[in-house]
Amino acid sequence: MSFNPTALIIVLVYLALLGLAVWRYGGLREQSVAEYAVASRSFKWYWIIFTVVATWFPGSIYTGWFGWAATGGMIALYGTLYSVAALVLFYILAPRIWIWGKVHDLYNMPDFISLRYGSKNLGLLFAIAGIIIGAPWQVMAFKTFGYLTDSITGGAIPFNVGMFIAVALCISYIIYGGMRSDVVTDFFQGIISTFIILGGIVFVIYKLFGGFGPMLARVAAEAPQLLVVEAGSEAYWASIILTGTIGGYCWLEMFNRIYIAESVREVRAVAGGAPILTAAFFILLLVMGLGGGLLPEVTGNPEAGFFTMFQLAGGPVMLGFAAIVVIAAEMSSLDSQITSGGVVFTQNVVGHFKKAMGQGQRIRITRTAIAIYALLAYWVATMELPMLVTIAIFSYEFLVHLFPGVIIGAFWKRANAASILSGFVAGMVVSTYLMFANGDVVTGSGWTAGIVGLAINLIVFVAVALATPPAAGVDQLFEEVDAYQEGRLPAAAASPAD
Amino acid sequence: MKEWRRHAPWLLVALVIYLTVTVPALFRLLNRADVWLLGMPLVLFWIVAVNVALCVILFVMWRRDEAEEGR
Repeated sequence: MSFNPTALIIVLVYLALLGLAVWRYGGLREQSVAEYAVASRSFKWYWIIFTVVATWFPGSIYTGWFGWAATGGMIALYGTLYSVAALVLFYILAPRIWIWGKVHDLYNMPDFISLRYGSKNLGLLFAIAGIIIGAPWQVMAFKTFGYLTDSITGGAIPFNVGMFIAVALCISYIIYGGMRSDVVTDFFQGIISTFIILGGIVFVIYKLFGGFGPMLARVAAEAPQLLVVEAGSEAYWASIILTGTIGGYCWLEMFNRIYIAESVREVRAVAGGAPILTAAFFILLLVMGLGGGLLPEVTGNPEAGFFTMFQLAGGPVMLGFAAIVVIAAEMSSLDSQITSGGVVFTQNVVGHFKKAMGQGQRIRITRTAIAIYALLAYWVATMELPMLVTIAIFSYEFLVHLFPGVIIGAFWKRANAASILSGFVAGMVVSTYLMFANGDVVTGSGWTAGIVGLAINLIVFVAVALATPPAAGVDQLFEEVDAYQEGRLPAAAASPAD
Repeated sequence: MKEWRRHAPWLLVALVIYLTVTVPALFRLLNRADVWLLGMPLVLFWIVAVNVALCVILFVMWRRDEAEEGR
């Protein structure tokens, strides 16, 4: 692609507007940790819907997943299934997580783990695991910024330089803003990108292929292998859907979305809008990717294919809109990931060892940690990496080991610290060994290392849970869920992070 | 726990639907492009149908909760 300033101008105008929003709702002023971490639990359902959807879909779906649809075909649509299925899990999980968060003034997933299992050490483990397992997503995000700047400048700015500029801008917004700014910008970015992407995808498909029917007919005639999941890989397909579904709300930033809601009702109302937005938009995007598999301009560089198709269909203006969509998606995921991760680092890792920190000091540490972390992630992103979606799937193989502690333990009283820790260690050891011995897929079975490791995790977890007593106070904790919903419970107690 | 017990039938339906794409032997029956429905190869049709079904189930559960709370 050659350089045309139109796309760049569109992007710069968008970034300026975004900067105004961040300045209005964020600010480097001193904030309380509650405000910085969970925006004082003040958001209504419509804000929650867009921040959940915006956080869930990073910009790398337009690079990694799109590229996979263009080259691998139908298998890329696994993402649509686990995205909506995870929302079913969210709907059941979120109310009790929110109630415990409100009653005990929790800010994040490690806080919940510490409370539920009566173990700050287990909370520390989940904090560290959450940050490390989530790290590949920030690397993917930065790489996506590289593809974006390369596309809109026609390669005029070197890939890594463009990536650095985009990362520096994005991280500046995040450090300056805090959680309230994150949610507000997620909302506006979500609305903009929803309209652009739904309309834009339909436009591109009609412009390049004459419509969905003609496009699919051409794929059937010219690249029929794209229209099925490759025979013999059904177990792999099942594995990646399962790990995505059960791991989805074990991400630090997705779990954190629950705590920013004003009430249980606002959390539940996400079900009214998020699922259909999620499904419609992701399916359309990846079906467009299938069409991309027909175009040599796309198959030659599949992870830039989304930009390529928008430019082919509508020139630099459409390319500019495509860039806005990717910026919106990536920033709205990245801001949630990094703010949540930064708060977890300060509250649950540093705070585990250094209890006496003032609010201002906690926020300064968070901001410093974010800046250092971003530099490290940028450095990794400058390296030659596998296809981005491969990195995503890899991270889920380890994320699933948080599932017993985060999700099963929210419903099963017998889960305790010993059972969670035992299962976690057993599962991680098995998954790691299988990953290094076999690669992602366990030879001969088709199932992934993550699923096999999770099976071991669950066996050990259940066995230890049944052999040991429940955590102290668990009956009272579970009773709080019913008591709160019946109006029998007073306001929040002291934070376990203090 | 009351809310998820109330939704148990719907969650069971959601689980059955989910299993059609996560049990390899079942998915193998649907993973075809020689049969087309509504302009889509069967596997794509089924993926879309599962998405729509899960969205509907979520919406129904939410409306039931709203009604239970008198709204």
